[in-house]
Amino acid sequence: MMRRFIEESDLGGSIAASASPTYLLPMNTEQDQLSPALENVLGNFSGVLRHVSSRFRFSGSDVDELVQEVRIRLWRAHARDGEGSEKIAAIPASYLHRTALSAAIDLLRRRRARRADQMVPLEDDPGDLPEPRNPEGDFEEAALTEQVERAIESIPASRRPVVRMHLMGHSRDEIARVLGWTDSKTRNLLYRGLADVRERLVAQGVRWTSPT
Amino acid sequence: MDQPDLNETSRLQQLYERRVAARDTGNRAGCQPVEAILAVIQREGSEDERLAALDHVMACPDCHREYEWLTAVEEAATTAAPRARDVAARRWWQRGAPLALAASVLLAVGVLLIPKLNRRGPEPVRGPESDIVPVGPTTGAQVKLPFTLAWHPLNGATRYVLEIQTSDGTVAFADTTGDTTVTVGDASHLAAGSDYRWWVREVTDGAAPRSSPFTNLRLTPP
Repeated sequence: MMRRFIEESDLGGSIAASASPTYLLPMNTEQDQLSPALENVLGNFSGVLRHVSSRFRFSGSDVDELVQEVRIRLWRAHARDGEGSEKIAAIPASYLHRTALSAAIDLLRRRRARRADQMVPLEDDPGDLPEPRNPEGDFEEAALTEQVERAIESIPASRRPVVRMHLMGHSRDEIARVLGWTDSKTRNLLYRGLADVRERLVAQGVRWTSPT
Repeated sequence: MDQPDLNETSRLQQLYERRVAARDTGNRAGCQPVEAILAVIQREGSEDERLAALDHVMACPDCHREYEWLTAVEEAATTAAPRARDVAARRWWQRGAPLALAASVLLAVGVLLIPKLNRRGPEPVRGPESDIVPVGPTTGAQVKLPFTLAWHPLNGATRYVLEIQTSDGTVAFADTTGDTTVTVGDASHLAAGSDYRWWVREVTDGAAPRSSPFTNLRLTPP
């Protein structure tokens, strides 16, 4: 029986398997010693990313992998001509931004591609199956979630993503920022969308009582 | 079975999150490309495209996790990048620039500025360093359909996204081009007598795009 022996990532992949070969290089290699300025730049990025990631509940291993990937890219781009340290200290802000995002995208692409090839037999992955609690209650809950999904599916397409974002816990500020809308427009479409959902649920026989 | 009650939005959130989490994520054939998720975060592309991508992302646990990851990286890179620039500036200052170099720079600036002071006409609108500089229409211009928007080419940029927005930030017209001009002739998205603002940004492969500042214009009746 296959056992899990590689660390699972919060992004749906396994760290060791997804990393590029250079990721497996030991630390304190020549490239690290060559570029203290690079470490300074990456230290800032890594610290902020770690802080932000904890808010999203991402594991440290995801951050480590990305930072290592960014380190390699910056080093390859700037450190091969003998004055890499100076050049890296002077990299434009937009270059670090661009490198970090393209590394993050490549990381996701690799994990998607690997996952498409991955077949895990069911008996090998007993995983985190919840303990059976109340079958009747679970059934009702499942039926209710289906009704919620049907209600959301039936509202106008212009309001649906806003409602979904709200229900996934994103703030109104974030919704407005992502869609480039004013706060009043966001609020308006969100409340209308929620009212639509409520109307559809009532039509499906779900009672909606006032908050107590 | 009694009909269920929903008495507050938090209950609705709980049910929806449970529904999304329970969705089968084995096959990702219908998922949004990673680039489309980043485009949502960076507000790239038309509003319709972003709404369609968001509709999937917010209903798919895998795409949602990737959205959160890219949001975190974008935020970290944006926050950390100015610090990197500060470090660079500080190191330059600590090294000390030779006085001769400073004198040369002053001389060069002076030579460049004198002809400009004597030149007539408005100074072109300029954004921050490395950003896109619009050519026209200039800010406050009154235009009639069809009209052409133009900007200076940017070193390294191969494609640009042009957006015309209403005053509340809603995108009224968007186009992607490899050129540095776009002619707007379609009146269906723009209302005569209305005020708009336009801006351009480069299309990049997942980077912080360089962009122009907003330029206001007014569309007059034909």
